[in-house]
Amino acid sequence: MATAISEQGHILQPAHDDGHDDGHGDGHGESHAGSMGLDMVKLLMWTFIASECLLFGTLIMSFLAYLGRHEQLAAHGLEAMWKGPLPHEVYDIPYTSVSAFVLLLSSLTMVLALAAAQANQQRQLRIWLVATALLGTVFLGGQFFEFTTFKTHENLWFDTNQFGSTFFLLTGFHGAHVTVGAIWLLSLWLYSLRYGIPPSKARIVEIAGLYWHFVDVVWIVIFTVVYLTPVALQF
Amino acid sequence: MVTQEVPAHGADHGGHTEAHAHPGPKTYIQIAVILAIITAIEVFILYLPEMGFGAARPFLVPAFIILSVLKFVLVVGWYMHLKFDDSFYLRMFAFSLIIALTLATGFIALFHGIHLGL
Repeated sequence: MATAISEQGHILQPAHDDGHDDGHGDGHGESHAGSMGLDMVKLLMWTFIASECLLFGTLIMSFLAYLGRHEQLAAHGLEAMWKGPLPHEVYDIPYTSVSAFVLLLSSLTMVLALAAAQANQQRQLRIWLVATALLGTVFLGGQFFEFTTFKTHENLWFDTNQFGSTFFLLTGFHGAHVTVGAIWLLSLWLYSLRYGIPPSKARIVEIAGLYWHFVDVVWIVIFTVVYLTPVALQF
Repeated sequence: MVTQEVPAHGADHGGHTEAHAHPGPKTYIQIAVILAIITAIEVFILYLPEMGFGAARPFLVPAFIILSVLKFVLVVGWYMHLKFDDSFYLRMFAFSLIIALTLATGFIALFHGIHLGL
């Protein structure tokens, strides 16, 4: 898509009804500017992310609700809610740190994929898309191993205690988001193989990237609140 | 070719500022290195009490919060381009975060302060 600068210093972009210069002409990835001058697809993704903030916020708060309060719970006859292992007894922080690093690295490869799409570097785009999806899959494999370790070696599962219920719900929900993101990226990779993603369609990579980075941001919060803090406080 | 005109860098448009150019791969890699270093620092300070620095324990959680906020800002600002895109996206995201944090504060106060009679 050709762009130019007007005399007033504004960017001139092709409108939606023009002939696309990529030869496919389906309009996906083009700028969808609304009356506010904002990209409506991007705005929709940010709206979705805003709603996800509330969702994950609620799940994290559920985890924190009774954290470190097992003695008070016992005093109220609710000791069964914390019967079983406590967070600091089961966590393997070095292992989880590697998982966190893998997800952070996937954010780098994702943003490099976007930069490659914007620069019309098709080969690099495909490499970075696959790398991001693979790193996401490695993270999921690590999570699966952690879950099975907790279940088989620590006797911790959904119905063990309040910690198990909220931990598996929160991290499982996050894992589901990573899974969706990995499938999304692989579908983009397949699309790029078949049709290519020219700079005029880089927006579809950017939208997928927003989702992926948000998943990474959620893990940054989970890593601190759900893993590091309970271990530091010996909860 | 039919063209449409959108404001360029830093222009005010309907009460919100327009987008700036996104950073390049070099900046992205620098951010990744910083994120990795911060994560390593988080893990390192977690083990300070076990290394004989027991006095550090009360400062661990505040340190974790500060470091994770730093990571959060770097990813959201640079990788998600909120620092460079239209400020409307930033305000929308900030609004949802404020609601989530307000709800969280009320929730924690309810369960840790009232529900358990503390």
